[in-house]
Amino acid sequence: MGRLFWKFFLAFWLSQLVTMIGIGIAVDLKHRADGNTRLEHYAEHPPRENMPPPHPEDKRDGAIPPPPPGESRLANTQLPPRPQAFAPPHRFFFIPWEPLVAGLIVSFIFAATLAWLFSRPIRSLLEGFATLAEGKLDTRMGHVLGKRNDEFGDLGRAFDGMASKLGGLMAAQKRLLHDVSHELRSPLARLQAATGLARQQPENLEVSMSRIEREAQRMDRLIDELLTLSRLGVDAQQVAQFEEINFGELLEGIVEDARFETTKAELSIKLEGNFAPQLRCQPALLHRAVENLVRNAIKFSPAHSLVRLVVEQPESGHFALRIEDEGPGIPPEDLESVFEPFVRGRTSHTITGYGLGLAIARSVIQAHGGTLEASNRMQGGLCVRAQLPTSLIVQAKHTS
Amino acid sequence: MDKPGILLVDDDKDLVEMLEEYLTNEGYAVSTAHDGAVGAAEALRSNPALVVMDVMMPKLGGIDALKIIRASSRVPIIMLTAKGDDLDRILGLELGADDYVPKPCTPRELAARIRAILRRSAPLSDTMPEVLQVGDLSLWPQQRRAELAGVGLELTSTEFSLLELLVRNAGRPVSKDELSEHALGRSLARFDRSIDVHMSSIRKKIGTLADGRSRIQTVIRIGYQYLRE
Repeated sequence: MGRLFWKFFLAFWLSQLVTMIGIGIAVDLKHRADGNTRLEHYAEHPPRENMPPPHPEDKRDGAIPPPPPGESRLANTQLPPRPQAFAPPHRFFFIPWEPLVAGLIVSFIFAATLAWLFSRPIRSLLEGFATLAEGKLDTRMGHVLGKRNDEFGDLGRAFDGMASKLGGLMAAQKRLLHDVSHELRSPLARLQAATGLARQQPENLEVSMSRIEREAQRMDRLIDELLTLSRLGVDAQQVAQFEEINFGELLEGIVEDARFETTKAELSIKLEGNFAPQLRCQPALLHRAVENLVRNAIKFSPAHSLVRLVVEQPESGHFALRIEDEGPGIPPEDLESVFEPFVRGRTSHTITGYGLGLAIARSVIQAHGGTLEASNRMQGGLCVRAQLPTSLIVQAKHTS
Repeated sequence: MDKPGILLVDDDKDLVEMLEEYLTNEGYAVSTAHDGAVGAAEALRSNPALVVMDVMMPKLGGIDALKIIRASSRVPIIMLTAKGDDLDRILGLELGADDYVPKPCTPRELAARIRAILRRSAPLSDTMPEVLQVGDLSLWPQQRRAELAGVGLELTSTEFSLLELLVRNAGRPVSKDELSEHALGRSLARFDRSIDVHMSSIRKKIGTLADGRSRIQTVIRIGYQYLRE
């Protein structure tokens, strides 16, 4: 039993005792007063015939039933003879020992129960928090408090919700860290192999050196992407200044670069839609997000296919950019997980990249208050749809 | 003598290419595979002198490929494991891998391990045939063959080397370091449980003495001892 229990218990019990004594005294005083005024009182309000005459024992609980209004209208009946029992007690103080002790015991039990009912769930919550603080994120209060239908039950469920959310976040962080270290190891292993080769064949130093350079660059790029991702996760709003740019121009730039970069035969990249609003956004990040999406589409596109960027008209507070390819698409069960860091398509182990592009794109879109979703197209291929709020639009401009 | 064949199985093609070049220059005939399924099939088909296999591979992982190979072959296998991933390492050894090399590693380190395992698993045909016998256990080190009460034992190359050293020293404790130097060609790192894992699988294979005692006894803080009856 903790301090809280005793506080509750003493508070309840004392208040009940005080109430009881107070009422006792009040009743006693009234009792005396009644003794003097009863004759007059009864002359005015005689009791009904079917009602038993009030007994002094009944008064101790303080509940003296007032005569119902209208009774006085009947006050023309014969005044009954006053029983002797109604005479005021002759003692100075009227102390009803038996009911007092009974009341004490009842109020003791009541106070103890009430205090226990309050302090027990708080204690178990306290224990829950303590174990959570020790790092046991699988701590749950549901089995202790969940069955209760009151605020304590709600508190227990809220605790469970918090604990499972925390657990999920921690697990995600841990997985990310594990993946990061694993991803850094692959270029490191190649780096070591390259230095080993350089040692073994000093005559081929040039080849080895360029390999080493390539691996170093890969690691640099990976770390760069990781930093972007982690900054986006922490304080996306503060990373870059919001600036005004034209969305259409941004898209045109990306499409032009992509056309220039791609080496795939007969791959056409088309920009469609005549909605080119002036946006207030973080241009560098948005550029990167869309570029990642386009690159991803190109990466999975077969030769002689089409990658489309479609800008949709605003509708109910949102406008959207769709990027569609004619590649293999994604198994439906992976449509959500492709946006997680280091997840690469199952079929794509031949394809280079760290699986961070889509994760970065989603973080950027989310930082702008939008959503990014992937779906498989009916006619085959993947459609990634970035939906952005129209609140970003400074000035809508329609191009022809 | 032919160059010993080595099969490299790893999904990192660039890495495999470089290791292939390195090991070829070291005098091995190197073949490669890029996933577990192809690797296991290749190991069983071409019967290399040794297999180096990554644990983490798409499609069929290294552990599963190891199970497939071990089901029908005793070819020495070195697993490439991520540093610090003890679970994979122990699991690999328990499933019959001969040794592991943490990745990333230098190619020189890998070559040294390969050499150590090949050296002791190669039968020495130029010496007189030798038989080691303790109780009902007989070992033929040249053929790397073991029999228990006339029944052949299925031991991996590393397990055989460990048992051989214990039997040669039967009745005396052999330190873990000695066992590691002899069987794995390297000294034991701190907290390295490789020898214990191998010992546990040997114990499972050779059973107990008639009186129920384990044939191989742990000598605390020293190593292991093969009991003379």
